[in-house]
Amino acid sequence: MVNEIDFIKQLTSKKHRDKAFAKLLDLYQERLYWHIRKIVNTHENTDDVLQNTFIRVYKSIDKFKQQSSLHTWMYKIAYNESIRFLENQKKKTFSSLSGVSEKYLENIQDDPFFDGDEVQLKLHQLLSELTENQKRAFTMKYYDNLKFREIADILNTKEGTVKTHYYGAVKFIENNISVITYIEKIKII
Amino acid sequence: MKTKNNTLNQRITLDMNTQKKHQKDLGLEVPKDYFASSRKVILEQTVHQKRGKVISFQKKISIWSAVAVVAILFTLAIYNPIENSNTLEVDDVLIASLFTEEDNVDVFLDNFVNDELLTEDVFKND
Repeated sequence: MVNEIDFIKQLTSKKHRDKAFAKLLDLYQERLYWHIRKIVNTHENTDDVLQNTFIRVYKSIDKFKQQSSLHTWMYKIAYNESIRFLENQKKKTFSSLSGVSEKYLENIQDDPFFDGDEVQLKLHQLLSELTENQKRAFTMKYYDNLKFREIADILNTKEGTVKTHYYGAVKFIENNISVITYIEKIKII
Repeated sequence: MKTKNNTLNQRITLDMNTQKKHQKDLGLEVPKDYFASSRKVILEQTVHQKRGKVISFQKKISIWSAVAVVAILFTLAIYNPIENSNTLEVDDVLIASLFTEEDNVDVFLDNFVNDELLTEDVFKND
């Protein structure tokens, strides 16, 4: 059982840094993978962004000011790396951020690492119809289990704004999803 | 910051549930053994890269030349024949100091290289 304060001390200590970083990787690798995957969509893209995220964390750990929790800081770096990746994609394909997601949705069934049925496909489609802010708030809250305060910190916005986006997204999905039993199953409410 | 007092281990269960949720609700899969291989790659690009960083031969020569000059100046400063009212000739002192203090100079060189020259900046410039 490691206290976060002690863990940060280890991460910033020359002597314990590498061992602590390996521990940090074990703790955050999977959850950041899923966080990034919902933003950049494909497994290949996620793999690139995940690596960049941890390299940045390793290089920047000394600059961590502890103004937020380590947990939030890690997600913030992953989020920023994902957006940076999408921005680069946008430049290459001459499309908007939402355009990149729409293009993925058109080809989602060609993705070798998508194994969804009709219901899962429908949920992807509904998520893509949300505004970017609603989508971020919803996926970070529901799938990444982040608190409203943490999401606000990651997105550099106010907690109230995040709540508005989240509940707007929930309402949109409730009103549009045709498989009502699925909504009950995933317990959005 | 309440989260600071949380134990990090509490989040592992949550992590497993997150993966199940993504697979079940969104149909998202990952290649078999992906996380193990990804972990290895990330460590190679961070922790292991730093340890295994190769310094070019050219750079080694430059560093050791600089160290040698500093070491000679250091030795001369200690055995300055003008300050020491020594009857020995200047050349004798220099030669003697270079040989008799060889072990100490080696230790000094090692410490100097490790502490002052092989800094993170040296690696960054590669």
